[in-house]
Amino acid sequence: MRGIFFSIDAILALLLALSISALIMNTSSRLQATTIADSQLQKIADDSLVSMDKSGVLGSSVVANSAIPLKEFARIIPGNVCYRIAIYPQSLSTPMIAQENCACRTYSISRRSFVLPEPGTAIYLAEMRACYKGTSG
Amino acid sequence: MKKGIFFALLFGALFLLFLSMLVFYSDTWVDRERKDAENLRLSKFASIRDDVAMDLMGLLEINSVYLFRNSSHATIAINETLPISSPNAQLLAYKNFIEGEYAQKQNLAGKILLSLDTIYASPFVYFGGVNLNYSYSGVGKDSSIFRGSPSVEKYSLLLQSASVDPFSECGWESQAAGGLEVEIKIIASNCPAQLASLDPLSESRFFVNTTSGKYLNMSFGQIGADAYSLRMVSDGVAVNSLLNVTVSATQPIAAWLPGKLEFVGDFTYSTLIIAEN
Repeated sequence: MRGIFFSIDAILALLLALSISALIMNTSSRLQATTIADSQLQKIADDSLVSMDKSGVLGSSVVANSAIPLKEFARIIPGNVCYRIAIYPQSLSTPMIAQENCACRTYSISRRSFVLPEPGTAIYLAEMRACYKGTSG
Repeated sequence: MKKGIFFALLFGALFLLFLSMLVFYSDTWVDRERKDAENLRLSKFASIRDDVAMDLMGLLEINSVYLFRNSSHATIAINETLPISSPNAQLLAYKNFIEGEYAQKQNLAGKILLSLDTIYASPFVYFGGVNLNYSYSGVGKDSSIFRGSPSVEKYSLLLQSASVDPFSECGWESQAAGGLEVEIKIIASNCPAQLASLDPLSESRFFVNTTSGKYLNMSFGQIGADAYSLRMVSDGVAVNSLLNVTVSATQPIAAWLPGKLEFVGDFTYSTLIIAEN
């Protein structure tokens, strides 16, 4: 009788221990997946702004005062990513140009400055917010 | 009784096993988080350095910049004559933007500092942790300074006098013996080649005069606060002459060149033309 009690007790203890370890591993891998997703979003936002800066897309948008160059560029952004690209003139909190495909509730953000020497040197700040479509609000 | 002890030991061992698993996972997680944060920080600094470099190319209307980096700081260097003669107004506006709005939005408020005026005292741009140097020379047009360090072993100078105003005489004004090797060769003049070992901690001076009375003065060794340095001052003679300076050093050193921006880089066995007709 005592043997059965100990066996059940041991099995229960083992199950409990296994559940705890499964919970820890599950939480750990879920957190890791979130970190990887955040990191990927950040890279997408950073790379997009760098590409737009170096290829002159940001400058073209300002010169044309139009979001069309941004929209054209945004075709290469992965389809499952929500984004908002905005260009702010120096010292202004309202964007002069903005382009977005859907809104994000929580997002990764990247910022990059760029200058246009002509006419007269002007400094601008480009900002890109990105989130995965499932998480957009 | 024996069974009870056996089970107690078994459960104890299982408990310890799972406890150690928990500690292992926790440590791994903390370590990963720390590495991720460090990677993010380095990536952000690299991105900012690239951003500033691109902006400077646009602002100063130049085609290229050099990016150097070691464990403690990153440097943006320019080896190009500026197409715009006085970039200070643009740089000042940019300085204010980078130090203020940009730093704030990058969550680096107070950590990006720019200095335009004192090239010796402070780098132009630096970040806490990963420094970023950039400087516009405040030195007069006819003064060139190679800011030395104990890594400098030798300065080799090759001077070509201009046919319209040839060198007439040259010689040492003062000379202190030591371990800094200096070699001076002057083409198309009656000045003999010079090979000397000078004291890097005191100033030795060499002069070259031209037939029209212009001069090129060179100082080796202790220049201001910097030992192992080379300074060249001329009253315009260098404009009509070709001067190659080769610095043999085990570490990169900085130079401020006439009419150009600061050049910080690997001068080890490199040759630099600092004035051209």
